[in-house]
Amino acid sequence: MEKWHIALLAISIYLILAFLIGVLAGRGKSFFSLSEYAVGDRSFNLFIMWFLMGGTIFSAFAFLGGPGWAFSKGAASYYILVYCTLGLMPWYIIGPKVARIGKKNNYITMGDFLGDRYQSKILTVIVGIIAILAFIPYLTLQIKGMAYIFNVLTYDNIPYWLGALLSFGIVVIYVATSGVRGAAWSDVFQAILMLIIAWVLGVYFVEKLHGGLGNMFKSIAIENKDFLLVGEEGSSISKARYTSNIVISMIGFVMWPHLFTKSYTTTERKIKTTVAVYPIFALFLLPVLFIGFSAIGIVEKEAIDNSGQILPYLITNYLTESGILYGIVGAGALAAAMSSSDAITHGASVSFGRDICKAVYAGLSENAELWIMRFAVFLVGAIAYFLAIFGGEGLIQLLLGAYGPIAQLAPAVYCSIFFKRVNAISIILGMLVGVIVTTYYQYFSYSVPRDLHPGLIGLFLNVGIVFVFSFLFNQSDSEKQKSEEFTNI
Amino acid sequence: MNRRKKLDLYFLLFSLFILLLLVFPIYDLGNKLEPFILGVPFSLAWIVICILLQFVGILFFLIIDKE
Repeated sequence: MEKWHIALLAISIYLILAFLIGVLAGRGKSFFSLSEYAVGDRSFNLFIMWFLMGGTIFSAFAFLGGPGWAFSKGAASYYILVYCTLGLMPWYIIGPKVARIGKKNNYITMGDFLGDRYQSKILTVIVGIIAILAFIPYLTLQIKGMAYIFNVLTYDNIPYWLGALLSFGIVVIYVATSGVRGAAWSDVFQAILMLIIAWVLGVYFVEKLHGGLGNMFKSIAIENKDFLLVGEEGSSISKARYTSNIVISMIGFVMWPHLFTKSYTTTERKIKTTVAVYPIFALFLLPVLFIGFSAIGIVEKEAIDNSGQILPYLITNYLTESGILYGIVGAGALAAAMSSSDAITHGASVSFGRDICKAVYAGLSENAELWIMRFAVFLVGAIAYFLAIFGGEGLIQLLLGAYGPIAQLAPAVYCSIFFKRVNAISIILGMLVGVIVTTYYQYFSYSVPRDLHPGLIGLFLNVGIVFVFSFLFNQSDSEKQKSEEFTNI
Repeated sequence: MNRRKKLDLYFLLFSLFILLLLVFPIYDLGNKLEPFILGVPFSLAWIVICILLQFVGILFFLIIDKE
């Protein structure tokens, strides 16, 4: 038996387990209930919530990209830690309000929430479209990660298309059958697995390659004293960029539309507790960065094509003892990619059914809506799959920027709860201008003023427009009523 | 201002406080190599300490916020 056979066996066992857990999670629950599919009958406990939220963030990007950033950019990678820590904080204040209004009015998506507050179907559809445009590239990245891991760990014996099809196919099936509950329970399993593996690998590589953390960081510092600092001469990121990246992610993080759907799965108190224990998840990211730092001075920069390959490179070159270990690492990396893609695929399917189909055709029965959502799992999955496998590099780069505009939803959400005067027109105008300006600076401009994050510039204009137009236009009567309801909740 | 709004305001201030600790210009204080803490450069240890501080802080809010 060759080594890659053993690795493949270990990965297969993992995949079967993830599949069974995901499918069985829906057992005994109604297969025909929209509320069960979309928000798990609003009954999730803290344990599941934490893993569901954590697993979603801890993606293929964190597992492959995190070490890559640490290896190639040094202190710029701290941003990942900070982002995970601060990102969810605003949710402590707005999450419970969103959940309370949602429960009262039976919302299941962000489009529901904003569309009802501003009494605008158009807004619901816009939010739905922005959500899906942001979800698909995110999924595409995860699928590329899965394909890559499969391919590397089986020494090119499993082609890209097959590895991705196997692992993402499983995700699609358990999301379509068990809805959010399937995603949540498989996340529990996947998150535990990847956290253990991240720590084992982090400790192992640091010890084996450098003989301890202290030695490792000292030798990095001797090589380039600014590498572990932000905004110094030898650092890879400026202070302005670092700061604005963090600010924009703190604003944008809770604007991910699937987060709204997730917060309808539980109660207010549990949302707050989830926010409280969330920073612990950020601490679990530490060893992921250590893995990347441990490769410095060991692996030549030229040895890999791009920095995301550093973890697979370390595994294939410095962890050669056993096929089992190999397979387990592969399973951990797959788990990271899969636990993000299940929640996102689910979110996209719910947005498609509710924010787009139901908003355009209000007469849709609940049953039909549920089946549209199930169908959308396959549709969105297929689009993301084909983009990942057959899409050119340039296309994927273009798509990646699509989740920049997510932060432009922030004024709509915050104003709905805190600012009574705001009306639909100003929100829609602000959002559109924000998205256009962000896109311009992302793709068509060579430099950004003061080296800020493009999304932040879009947001300044967005907020300005919302503010000015709120005083120029008046709300309709139904909107006035809703604004009272939302601000007093 | 009722109790709910007051707590929300305090939480907002607390969030901003943690944010400020982690971005420039205040992060200049932490953005140093020395001293190494448990082998980790100060710039990274500062972030870890902030995360722990935030964790304890939110726990405190959870305890006083029993509605």
